Amino acid sequence: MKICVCIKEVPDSDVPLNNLRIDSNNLKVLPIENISPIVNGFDLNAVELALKFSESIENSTVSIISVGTNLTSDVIKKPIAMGADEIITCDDEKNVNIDVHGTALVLSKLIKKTGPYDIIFSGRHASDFDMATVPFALSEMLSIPILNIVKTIKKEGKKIILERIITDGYQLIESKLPLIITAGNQVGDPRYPTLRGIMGASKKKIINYTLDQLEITSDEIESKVKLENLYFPENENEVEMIQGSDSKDKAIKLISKLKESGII
Amino acid sequence: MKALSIIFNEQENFDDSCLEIFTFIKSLDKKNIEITNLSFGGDKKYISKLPVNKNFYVELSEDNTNQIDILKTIENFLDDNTYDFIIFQKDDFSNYIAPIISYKKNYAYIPDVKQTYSNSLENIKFIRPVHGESAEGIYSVKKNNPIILKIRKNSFEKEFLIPIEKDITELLLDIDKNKSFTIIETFKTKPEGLQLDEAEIVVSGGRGIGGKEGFENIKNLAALLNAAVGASRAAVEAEWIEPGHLVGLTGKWISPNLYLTFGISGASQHLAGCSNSKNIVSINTDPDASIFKYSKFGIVEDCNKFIIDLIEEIKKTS
Repeated sequence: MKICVCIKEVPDSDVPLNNLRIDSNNLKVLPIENISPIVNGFDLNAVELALKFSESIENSTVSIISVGTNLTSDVIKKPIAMGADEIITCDDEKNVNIDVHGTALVLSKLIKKTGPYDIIFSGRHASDFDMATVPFALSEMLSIPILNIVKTIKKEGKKIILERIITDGYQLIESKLPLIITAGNQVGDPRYPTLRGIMGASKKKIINYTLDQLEITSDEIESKVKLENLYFPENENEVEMIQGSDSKDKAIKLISKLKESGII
Repeated sequence: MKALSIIFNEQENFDDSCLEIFTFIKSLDKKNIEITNLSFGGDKKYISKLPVNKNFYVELSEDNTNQIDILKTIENFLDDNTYDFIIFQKDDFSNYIAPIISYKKNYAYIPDVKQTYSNSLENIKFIRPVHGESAEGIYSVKKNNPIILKIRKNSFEKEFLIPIEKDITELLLDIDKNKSFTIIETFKTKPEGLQLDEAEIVVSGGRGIGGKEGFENIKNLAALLNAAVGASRAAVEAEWIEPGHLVGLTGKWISPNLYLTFGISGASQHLAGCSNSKNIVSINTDPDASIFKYSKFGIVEDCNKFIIDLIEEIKKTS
């Protein structure tokens, strides 16, 4: 079984709000300090799901695919350290302002060039722009059906059986291959890289294709939708901190405040 | 201007938050507006009263409706009809269908729109939160390109239903016989007690609650206030409470009159789901917790101790 996982390098999403700045040239939200980027959290859930699945099937390979500009080698190699087999990128300076449309197009070309794959995994959305669109665009470009927010996947004979998360529950689904799957935190924590994994990853060469090599022009990655500006919304809220001699006193004061303002 | 709303409801139900779509459409263009609605499932008594010019209805027979059949139905519908705008609202079906339809039919696609502004329809801009709600982006679309938008719930006023039932044209679901996947069964695990999106008061616990036992107090307080129980992702991932209680970007989006948080720091992805609450009251040991910036009242205190005192005092006063 040939498997691939699409991952994205994003700014660290755990940086608190007051340590973020807007890069107005490239329209990106970045940490104030020089904090290393990360692999999008849901993409690591997708790597975990892909690795678990590949371990249950003999002769499986897991390829990692990523698109970007000036990718950080140590960051995007994390899935290799976790156990994936190879990493293929389109790291090209012309990708600097690439959006969901361009990303999906480049991913589709990388997948056609290095595939075909039986299953393509990705995170449910990326933590930088929260669009949740690339996997669906990819599904159209590759004419491969998609199932979103999958928690488990297993092979039973020729059938693929999946659990997919829905609001207030889940669905049991039987599917054919090939298939695109998105994953979220329900998969469970991604495994830690082992020391051996980290050593192996550091030696692993990234296979890179430029846009030219993929025969993609700048016009083709241009989107119908344009991000014109980014800003931090003003928060005009003023909190009233309730003081008191102890916890009980504060509880009494809170109740009377809530009653005074007609909230309860 | 021609607009199409696409609405999903469980059979025989009617979620009136879909009425936000019509307020949104009317804000796009004051005059010259023709609204068509395409409803999948739901109570026809209500759907026939939607404030639209043309109304189509597709019956959904069961819980196991496959998105592929809905996609095919919409695709065929759009073969015969074109629109300047197609509007979805955030739900399981729309999250799947809206981006795919945009590619199939060459529409521009912008999800999670919370606001628009323009001096004319041609220069319209759309605002959506990015980076887990910490920032907002302003988007525009190439001239004359039709647009699919998915709007956020609780971001617009609800338009009123019209007082009389008008005609609905019934369409059949196009069943794709060669589907690549089939839904064997759907399992619903609605949380016990009052539902998050229906409650006037929600009481939520986060990492600071410290364990399953702490959630017993959250549940007790919720019962006392006739409130629903919510939780942050940290609490759900630690399995202190079932996933159905999750409030946030990947969980429920709520807008209660009172949102009481215990031990929740206010990560942006949690704020995504609760920032439309009318009054937030937060209890946290950390005076710098970002949830305070969004709260009406804040209390720095050990939340497990405070909740017991609060329960006791409420019992005394009621």
